[in-house]
Amino acid sequence: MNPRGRIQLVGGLLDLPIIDKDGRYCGIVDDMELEEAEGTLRVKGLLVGPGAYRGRLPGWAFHLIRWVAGARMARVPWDAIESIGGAVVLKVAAETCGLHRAEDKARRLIPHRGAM
Amino acid sequence: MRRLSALIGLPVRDAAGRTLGRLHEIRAVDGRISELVYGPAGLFERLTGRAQPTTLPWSRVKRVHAKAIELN
Amino acid sequence: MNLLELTLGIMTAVGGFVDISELVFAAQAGSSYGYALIWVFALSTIGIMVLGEMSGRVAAVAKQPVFNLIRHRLGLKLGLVTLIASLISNLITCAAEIGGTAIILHLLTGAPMMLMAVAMMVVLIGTIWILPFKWIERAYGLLGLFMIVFAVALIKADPPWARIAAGFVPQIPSGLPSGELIRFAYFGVAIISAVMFPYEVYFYSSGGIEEEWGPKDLSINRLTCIVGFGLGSLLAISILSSSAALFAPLHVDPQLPGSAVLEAELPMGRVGLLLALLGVLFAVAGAAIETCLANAYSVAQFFGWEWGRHKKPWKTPRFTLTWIALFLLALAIVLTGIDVMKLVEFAVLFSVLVLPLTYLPLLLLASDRHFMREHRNGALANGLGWLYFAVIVAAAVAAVPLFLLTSGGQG
Repeated sequence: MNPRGRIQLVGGLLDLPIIDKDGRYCGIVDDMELEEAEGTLRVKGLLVGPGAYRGRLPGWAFHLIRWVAGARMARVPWDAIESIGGAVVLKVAAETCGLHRAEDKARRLIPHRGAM
Repeated sequence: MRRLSALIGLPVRDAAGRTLGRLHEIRAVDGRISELVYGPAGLFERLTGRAQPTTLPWSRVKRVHAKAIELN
Repeated sequence: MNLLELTLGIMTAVGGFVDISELVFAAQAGSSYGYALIWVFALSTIGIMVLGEMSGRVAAVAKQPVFNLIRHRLGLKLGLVTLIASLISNLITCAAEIGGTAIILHLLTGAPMMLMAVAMMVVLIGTIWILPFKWIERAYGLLGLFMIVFAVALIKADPPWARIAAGFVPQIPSGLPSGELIRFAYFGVAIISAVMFPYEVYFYSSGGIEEEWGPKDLSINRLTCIVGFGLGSLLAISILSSSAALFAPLHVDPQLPGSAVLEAELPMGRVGLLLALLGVLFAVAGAAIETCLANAYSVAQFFGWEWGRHKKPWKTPRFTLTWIALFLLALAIVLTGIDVMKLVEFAVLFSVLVLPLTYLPLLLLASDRHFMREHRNGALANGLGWLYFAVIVAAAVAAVPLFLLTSGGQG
C-alpha cells in the first residue's frame, strides 16, 4: 500500500514492524506524531523506541521500561515511507533516521567469528 | 504537536456535550486525517481488521483537546 | 515440491515432537490410567496440527512471524502482557528441558547432574552459534528419531492392541473415586498443554520465515504439520501405551524421565535402553533450543529488532545476546537445585494459561483478508480453530484449580 493512499492509522500502521531500504528490521511503529495542517491533522512522522511508549502504557509501566531500556526515541518522517503492508518499508537506510544505534552498540559485544 | 496515542481512547462528544463513544480508529489519506471511527464499531474494527462504514468525517470535528474530541 | 525437503521436514517434526513434558506425562498417564488418556493425546495433536498449519501459513503468506502480528493486532499493552506471560512460560519450559537433558546425561555417564546441565548449555549455545538454522533444527530432530525405539519396544511388548485402539475413543474410566477423577482431569489438561505448548507455534512460524517460505510452500507446511505431528504423536502414544502395558500391572509410577526409558529396556535389553536414552537426549535437547529461540524470537519480533539464525550472530546482535541470556537464565533456574519434575509441572501449568493469548491473535490473523488474501482460513480451518480455542480456554480456566486440588498431579 502506498502511504499516499487511504490507511487506518491504528489497525493498519500502529505497531507494525519497520524495515529499511536494505531489508533490515529497525523497530516498531510505537506512536505517531501529528501536526496541524490546512484545517486537519497530518501525520508528520512515526515515533520509534521506548521513549514513544509514554501515553500508551500506565505511568508505572513506562517508568519501569525506561529504567530497563532507556527513553530513546527516533522519528521517521512520513516522506521516508516507501510502502505500508505487513510492515512499513522505508525509502532510506535505518541510520538516516537514527534507528540502528542500539543494534550497533550491541554488535560491539558479539565476536565476529565461528558461525557457518 | 500531538501524538496519535493521545487521541486514541478519547471520548467523542457532540455539540450538546453528550458522549457518543470513544475514539478507536483514525483513517488518513496521504497522511492527512480524513475520518474518525468511534464507539463499539471502532473497537470491533481494531480487533478484527475489518473495515466498517465511515462514522465521522474529520470536518465534523470542532476541537481536539486533552480530554475529549468535540464535534460541531 | 522438493521431496527431499518435505521428507526431512516431516522426519524433523517426528523426531522433535516429544519433549520432557510429553515424555513424563505420557508415562505417568499410562501407568495411572492405562490407555484411557490416549484420546486426549490424539485430540490435542489435531489441535496442534490445525494451529501449527495456520502459523506456518501466516508466516508464508503474510511474511511476518506470529509475534510481529500479535503486537500489531493486540497493541502494546495487551501485547506486552502476552510477551511477558509467554517469556515466563517458555523460560520455565527451557529450564525443564535443560534439566531433563542433565538427568539423561547423568544416567549415561554417571557425572554429576549440575555439571551435565552446564555442559549441555555450552553445547546448545555452541550449536546455535555455529550451525545455520536449517541444520540446528534438523540435527536434533533427526537424531531424536532414536525415539522410534519406543514404538518398536511397544510392538515387542505385545500389548493388548484392541485396548489401545479403544483408547482413541473419548472416555472417562468408570468407577474412579472423586479424587482420582479430578487427577484424571488434571492429566487431561496437562496433556493438552504439553502437546500444544505455545513455543511450538512461535518457533514453527519463525522457522518458516527463517527458511523463507512463500505461498509455494503451503503444501509442505500442511504435510509437515499433519504427517510430522501425527507420527510424532504416535511416538508419545507408544510411550503411554508401553507404560500402561509394563508399569501399570506392577503399580510402578514413572515419575522420572529415567523411569520412562525402562519401557525400551524391558522388552529390548541394553540396546533398547541406550537407544531410548539417546532419543530422549536429542529430542529434549532440541526442545531446549526451540524454547530458548522461541523466546528470543518473541522479544526481537515484539521490539522490531533484527532476528534469525539465517543471519550470522553478529548481524543480529540484540537477538543473539537475548538467546544467550535466556539460556543462562534457564541454567540458573536448574542450578538452584529445584526438582526437574516440579519445573515440568510449572511449565505445563504456565503454558496452558498462556495458550488463549497465543492462539486468539493467530486465529484472527489467519482469517484476515488483508494479510492472507486468498490463503485465509476456509470454513474447516475456522471451525476447527475456534473449536480448539474453546477447548484451550476451558483448559486454561480449569488448570489452576486442578493443579491445586491434585498437588500437581500427585493426588
